Amino acid sequence: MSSSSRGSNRLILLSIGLLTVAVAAIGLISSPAVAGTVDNETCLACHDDVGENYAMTPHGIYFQQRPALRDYGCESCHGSGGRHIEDPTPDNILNPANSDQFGSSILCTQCHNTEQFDEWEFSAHHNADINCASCHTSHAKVGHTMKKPTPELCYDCHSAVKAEMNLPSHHPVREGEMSCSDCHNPHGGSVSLTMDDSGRELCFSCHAEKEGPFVYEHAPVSEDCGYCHTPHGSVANNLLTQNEPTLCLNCHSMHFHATVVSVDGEFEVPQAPERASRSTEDGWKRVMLTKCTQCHGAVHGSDLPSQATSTGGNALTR
Amino acid sequence: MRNAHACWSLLICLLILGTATVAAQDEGMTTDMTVWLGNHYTSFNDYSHKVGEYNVGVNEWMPEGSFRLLHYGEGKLFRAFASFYDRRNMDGDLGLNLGDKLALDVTYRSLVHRPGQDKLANIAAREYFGQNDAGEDQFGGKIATHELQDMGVDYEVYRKEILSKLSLMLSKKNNIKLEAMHRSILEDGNEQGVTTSHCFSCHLVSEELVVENRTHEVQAGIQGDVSDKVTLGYEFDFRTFKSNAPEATRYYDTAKHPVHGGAGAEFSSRVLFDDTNLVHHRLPETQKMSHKLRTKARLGKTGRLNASFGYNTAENKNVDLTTESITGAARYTATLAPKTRIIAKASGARIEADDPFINIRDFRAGRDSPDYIQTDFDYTRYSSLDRTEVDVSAELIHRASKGLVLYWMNALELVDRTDYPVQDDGIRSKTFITQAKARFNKMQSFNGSVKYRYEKTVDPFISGRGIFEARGREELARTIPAGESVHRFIYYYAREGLRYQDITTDPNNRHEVEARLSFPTASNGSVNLSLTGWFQNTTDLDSLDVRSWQIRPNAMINLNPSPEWMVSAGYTMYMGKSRGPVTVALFDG
Amino acid sequence: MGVDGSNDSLQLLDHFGSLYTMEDYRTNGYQVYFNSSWMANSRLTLHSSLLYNWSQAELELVDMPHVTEEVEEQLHHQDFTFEEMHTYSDLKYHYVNVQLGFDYQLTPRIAWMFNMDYSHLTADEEYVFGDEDGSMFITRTGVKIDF
Repeated sequence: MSSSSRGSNRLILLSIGLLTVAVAAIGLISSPAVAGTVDNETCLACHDDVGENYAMTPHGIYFQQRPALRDYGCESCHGSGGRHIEDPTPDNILNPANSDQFGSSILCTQCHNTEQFDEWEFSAHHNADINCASCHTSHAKVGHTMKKPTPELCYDCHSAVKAEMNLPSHHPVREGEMSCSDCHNPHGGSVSLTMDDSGRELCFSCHAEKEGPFVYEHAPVSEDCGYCHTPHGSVANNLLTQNEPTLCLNCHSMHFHATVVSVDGEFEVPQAPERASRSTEDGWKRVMLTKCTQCHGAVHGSDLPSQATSTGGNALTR
Repeated sequence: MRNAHACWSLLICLLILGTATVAAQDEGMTTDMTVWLGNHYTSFNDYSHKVGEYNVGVNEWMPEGSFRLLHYGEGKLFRAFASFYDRRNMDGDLGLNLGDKLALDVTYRSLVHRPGQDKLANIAAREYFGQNDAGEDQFGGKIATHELQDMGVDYEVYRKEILSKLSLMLSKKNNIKLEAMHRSILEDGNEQGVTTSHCFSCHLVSEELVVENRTHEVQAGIQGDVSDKVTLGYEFDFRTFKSNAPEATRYYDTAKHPVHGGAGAEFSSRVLFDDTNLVHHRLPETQKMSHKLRTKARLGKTGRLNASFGYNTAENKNVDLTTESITGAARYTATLAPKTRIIAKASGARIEADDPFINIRDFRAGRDSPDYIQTDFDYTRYSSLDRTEVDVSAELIHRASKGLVLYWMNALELVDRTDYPVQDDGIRSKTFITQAKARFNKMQSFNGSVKYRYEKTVDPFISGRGIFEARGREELARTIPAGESVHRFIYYYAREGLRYQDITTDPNNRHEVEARLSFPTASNGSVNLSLTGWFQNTTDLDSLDVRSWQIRPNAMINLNPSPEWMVSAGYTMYMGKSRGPVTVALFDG
Repeated sequence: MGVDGSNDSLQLLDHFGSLYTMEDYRTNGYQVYFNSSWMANSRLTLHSSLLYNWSQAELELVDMPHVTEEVEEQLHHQDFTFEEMHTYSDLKYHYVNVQLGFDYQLTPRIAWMFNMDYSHLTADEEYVFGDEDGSMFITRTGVKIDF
């Protein structure tokens, strides 16, 4: 063999060697078989129940749009699957459904980071280790990602609220005209689970006519609607915590007219005979001690003075 | 009604347009559509509003239907839903998501609320003195009668709500997003209006009032990342309320002596108006505006800070009254150790309300007899809204073991009612709250929690009216300047000055307990048990001896006896007792 | 006329402060519910639910303390007993709701649904809000088509 042919052979060997190294390097970069990483296909080979709808799930659709994640959607939430492949026990894979408030539950909020989740880490649900998977199922088709429709989903844990919602006076949740999320933000709010800065503000967002400001005020309205009302349900009408007049008597003295003994039978009004009426012996008690709001109807406040001078016009009768 | 039809028509048009637009686009999309076509028959027997308070029904067959469409794929989602139960119970929803670039949602819903009607049947009484020497009944002057001008009227309010939300990504670089919301609540119908006329008789008239309430709200905001850890946002909110109902007026009787009809001027001077037609039941036109700055920041590895600062105004345009408030809030959470978190919150608000001057007709004006004292009742109405509120709290959460998490929270709430008319120096309520909780989670066997909360309030809220009155003549005599004579009667107005205004019926101690237990049963079922209860009372010298408690045990069981059969059942009981005052003045006016 | 004097010609001159008692207001109730869903075969699913709610709110008998002789003398024609008053606040309701229905899968995409919903409310204390008794019966039927 001539020296020139030996040189050529070395060049060919070097070229093959370089090519092999290059191919191996490229292969290493692009291969899904990098230690600890597995693609969707590998996961779905066992988890075929998930695979059935995967392409139609919100996550499946999202990952489909991102070439870098297209084949590794499972690992985007579940972390590296390498160890799980070697030993397929649940302990060897990250499961967001088991996350708690000490760090791991922010996994979902890394992507779901819009303002509706701003308060999640301060929320009562988060603090109770209720995680996203407690209410949502991430492997379901678009439009079916809630485990149950509300309010049933909420009632599973808040069953005492369900009982209140079935009381004679209630917000129309039972009738399907409202849902829990009309008042509560399950992902956290400023006051407990509510959406706004204070309980009053939340109520006024629907009952704006009761906010005022008014010339003639009813002080508890300035404090808290909860002084007189209970939001989920009550025995008394209008979600009142107690029936009238008992509720009003907590802060007010009854009319002294309730002590007046009445006619037992028919009577005429001297100045207006057309108003002839029938009374009982306890007629004044019935008039004055049944429903205070029959006369004091503007109980949330009013701009119109009431008639009697003695109260300075502030009797909330009109 | 015309509005409802217009809204519904608009919704259907949008739905068809949206469907057609999206469906005409690319092919890599999936469409799910469900249609429900049906009818219903509602039958009422011995009908009352209570059982059908939120259900509209007519004794006839009504067609109903619903339509649900989902069109999605390639990062896009179009959603349409429409439901027709009857013409006043309809829902609709249109949604469009274009990845994280755009989210648009428009919803419509309507319902009818039928509150119970108050017939005023109990308003009929005349004072009885007994019998005279001749054995005849002696009637007194106090009289209450009622008059129904609305006999048989079925009161109901038809409520419609349209809500639109828009989120638009302006720049992905800094996540700059525009958020907008519009909401309209339209209420039409009728309600019972009752007017009360004093002197010469207590006469109540019940009549039908038109309801035409309009609430409109617009919200707009922008937010963006100023660094990879800090987001800033601004939000503007504007809400108006107006009633378009025609003003209701009533004639208020001429004030006269109840029995013989004399002394017109005497009785007339005891009321602010008589023998006149006046508007009643007027809802003010109001306008509310708020500006809010918000920020959220990641501090350190686990720290998170959310803060907001707001300026708000609420205005009553009918009478030119304004309330202004400045609010601020900050919340911080961090993991102090691998198994310990802290949540700290602070918020504050300063509310200042206009204090209108109330001009009242002079009592006994024009009465010149020496026995009579003419009194000027004009006053400034200080607002019970005026206040400074500060709340601070800190909660520590510690995972003691895999199955046990411990919680401990302390909070302080201060309310300083500066202009409150009850006491010269206002009422400063301070509430201290402490709460301890343990949560167990033994995974397969059971999980549960127990919680105890205690609230102690110093100087609770006091009702401005004053529930008790002092003995009249002795008390009033102290207020009469030397040399002036004391009028013979204790008039109604004078009783206002006899009220003890520093007594409250608010409790100053509150204990709350809560226990929950949940465990699985055979056949994939579960049992949930809970007990909640509270007790509150007072130990404050200025408080009445009020006390109340409530206990609420609850049990729920979910069973799946077979894959085909699901059963759930529950029992809830509630017992409560509240002890409060029943008070009457010993007086005959 | 002196501050503390009385005028015989005017019998009702004075105001004796307030009379009060502390009374209990009770709220009691219970509720039972049952829901069941049974897939009888691959086409037919039966649903049923029952809800019964009993609730009551009542003020206990208002037992005012006796007034003094002085008050009795001057306000003799007035009555400071309130034995009937507690009934003006009392409420007592029974509410029952029964629902029965089925879904029948006519084809894999078309289901026939039928539901009956019966509600009845009884108000035993009708003084306050009048006669609130009543029942409501709703029958619904239709087809659901998945495209």
